[in-house]
Amino acid sequence: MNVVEAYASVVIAIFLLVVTPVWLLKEQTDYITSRNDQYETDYLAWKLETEHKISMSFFTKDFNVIPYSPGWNATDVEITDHMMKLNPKTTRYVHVIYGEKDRWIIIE
Amino acid sequence: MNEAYKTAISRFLMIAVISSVVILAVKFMRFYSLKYADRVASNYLDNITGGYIALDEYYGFVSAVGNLGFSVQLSVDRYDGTYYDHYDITDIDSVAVLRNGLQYFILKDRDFVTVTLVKKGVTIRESRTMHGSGVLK
Repeated sequence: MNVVEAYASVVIAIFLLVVTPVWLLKEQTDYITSRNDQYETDYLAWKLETEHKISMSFFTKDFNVIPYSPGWNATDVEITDHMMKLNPKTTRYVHVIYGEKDRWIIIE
Repeated sequence: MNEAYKTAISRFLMIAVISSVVILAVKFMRFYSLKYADRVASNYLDNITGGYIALDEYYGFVSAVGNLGFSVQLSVDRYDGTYYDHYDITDIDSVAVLRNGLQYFILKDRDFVTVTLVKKGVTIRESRTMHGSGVLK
């Protein structure tokens, strides 16, 4: 093995041992988080609708209201600039329409 | 650098590369089996129609996902206007009814059906809500 081959092997080994596992772990974590966020949002929507007759909807960035449909989660919709000022990255807001009254609920 | 030293480094690098490829292959398989099991759960729920859960079909699904190393829990949340009920489908005697020799769990409108997949500390949930048409959405 000459010097070039040795360096190439080292680079490949580092890539395989460090970069790829970290990327894979991130992919898996993101997937699980996204799926469980979706479940929690679905469960919340179900509880609001069955117990309180509240329908849940989301705001888009241009303040259009999108009715909630199962399978969505709060991260599917862009958070408005105004809401970004209100909340840290860890907190997500959804808009709830209750009769003619509007209010915000917070999912943390 | 003498030849023995070069050979030792060369062998070390080769072993490192081969073992990392093997480890990565295993990790990839685990991740994609997770996604596959999730898709199987989603398809299972999509195929529940008619307003009931047939337990023989459910156990077929449990077997299919079990082959991927996942344990499965199916539950139903129900709100009757006053209080919440939580049904665990593994408790067959209390939840199933017999029809033509087969066991069924009868769903009601607005029931929230959840499939939970668990494997080595990883938990994924898939859910649907029963609509009056007898279809989970």
